[in-house]
Amino acid sequence: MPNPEGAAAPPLPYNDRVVRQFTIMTVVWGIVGMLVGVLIASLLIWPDLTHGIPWLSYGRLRPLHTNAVIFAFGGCGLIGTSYYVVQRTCQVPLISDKLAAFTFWGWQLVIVLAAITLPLGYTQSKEYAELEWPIDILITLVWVAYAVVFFGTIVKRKVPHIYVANWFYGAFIIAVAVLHVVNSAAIPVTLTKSYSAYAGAADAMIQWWYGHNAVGFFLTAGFLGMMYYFIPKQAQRPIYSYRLSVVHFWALISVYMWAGPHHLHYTALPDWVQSLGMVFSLILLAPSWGGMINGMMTLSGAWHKLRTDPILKFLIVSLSFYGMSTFEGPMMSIKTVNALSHYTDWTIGHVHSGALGWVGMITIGSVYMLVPRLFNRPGMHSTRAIEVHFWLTTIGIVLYIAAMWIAGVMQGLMWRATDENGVLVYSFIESIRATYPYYLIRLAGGVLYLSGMLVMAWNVWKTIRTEPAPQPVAVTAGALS
Amino acid sequence: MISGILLIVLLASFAVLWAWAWSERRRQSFSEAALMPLREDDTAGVGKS
Repeated sequence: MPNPEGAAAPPLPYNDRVVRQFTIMTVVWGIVGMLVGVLIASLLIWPDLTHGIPWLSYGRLRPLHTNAVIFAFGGCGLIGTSYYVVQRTCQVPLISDKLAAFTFWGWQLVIVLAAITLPLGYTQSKEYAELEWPIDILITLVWVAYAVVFFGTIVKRKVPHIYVANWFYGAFIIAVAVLHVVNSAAIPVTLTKSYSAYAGAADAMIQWWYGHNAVGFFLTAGFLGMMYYFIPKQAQRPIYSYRLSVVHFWALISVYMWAGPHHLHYTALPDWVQSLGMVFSLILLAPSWGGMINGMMTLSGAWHKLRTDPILKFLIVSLSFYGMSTFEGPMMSIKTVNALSHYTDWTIGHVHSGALGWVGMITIGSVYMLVPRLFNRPGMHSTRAIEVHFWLTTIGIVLYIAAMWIAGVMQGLMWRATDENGVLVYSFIESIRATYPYYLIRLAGGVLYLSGMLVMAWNVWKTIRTEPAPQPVAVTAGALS
Repeated sequence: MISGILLIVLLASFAVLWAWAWSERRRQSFSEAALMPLREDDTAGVGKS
């Protein structure tokens, strides 16, 4: 690589300003989104907590929670890290600083508009795609700009090879664009009201083709891009098998697209489509675990680093949760298992083992790696606080998902229980009463997870506020541990 | 009929992908590619703006 000092024309600096902005907002929106999560978990236990105020009701805050954690927390983490990774692995600055700034401010505007319109009750009533059509158009504009910045930077790269992390980020950007445009197609009636362009079972199928691929490409492929850069970087070892990462990529993106119908088992969807969704969901276990093993085995021969490096703990434990939820998912897609699990809190437990465990922990680990690098500090202010955060997070997730597993299986069994005359044994309200203790445990898990995020915010704040050392120190991963 | 042909084509291309990824000719460039994240952060630019 050319030495910057020796080059005739010094290369342009990387655009880290936009990465800093996205990184800080990842922490901020994480706290906001999880706080709303804690509030709605409390509403399930104490329904009168918000005194019946419509815009603080469960039905309006629940989409706010999902949008905030997926698109605000996850989205800022993904866009920010992808800008960081694409510049480093292509050895060039972003193609356009102005367009990159537009993606940041545009994305923040989308989030703020979501935070205003969802509590007011404006919704297209499509899960994870609730935002009304004017906001959908804004999302499309921001997303196209994001694609131009990302792929434009890849086009002018100085290294011939496109690193595997960029393939995953790229698939995430393209797939989310297609999913968003197709599923959000609607006929506007007024500025705040529209009707889906599709009807009946086809509408449901398109929604869950979108919904499951939002999981597959937003919450999986994007974060796998993060995994393929930040785990080797923090472990200071190359990925366990680069050729496995190539097979992992193509297998994962080819199979994910077909798994959506498992969200519509035993509905009006044609039976063969349901079976197709189930079979592809089962196949999905192979590429998912291939990726998990690839990430974990990167630590092969360096497992001792886990003892002393809490950032690495975050990154590796996130992969354990990824492995757990990608085993659980295919299992739940089997029709007979789904007959028990569907519509119960088991699904909520499953999605949170993926969201809190995989998505949350890999993002948190990456943010802890990025903050000192972006603000030119030798390391985070307090390694001990990262350790505390790690344990708050881990215990919080375990409480959350264990409570929801037990609650979900119990609900499923109560709902299907019949006596010798074929009459239902339990009324629905009895299953809710039986769930209360588990709702309390889930709330405790959520509060622990949220308090971990507050510890993180304090640590990030202290790291940024601390004056840099008088002698600029080369920031290496070794200095962080 | 068409779906059967498509299935065979997809399975075959998966096998080809696997063979390509594991071929001796790719070994060198893949092991170089795997080192990309381990380079110093700020080789091309200064990394601060």
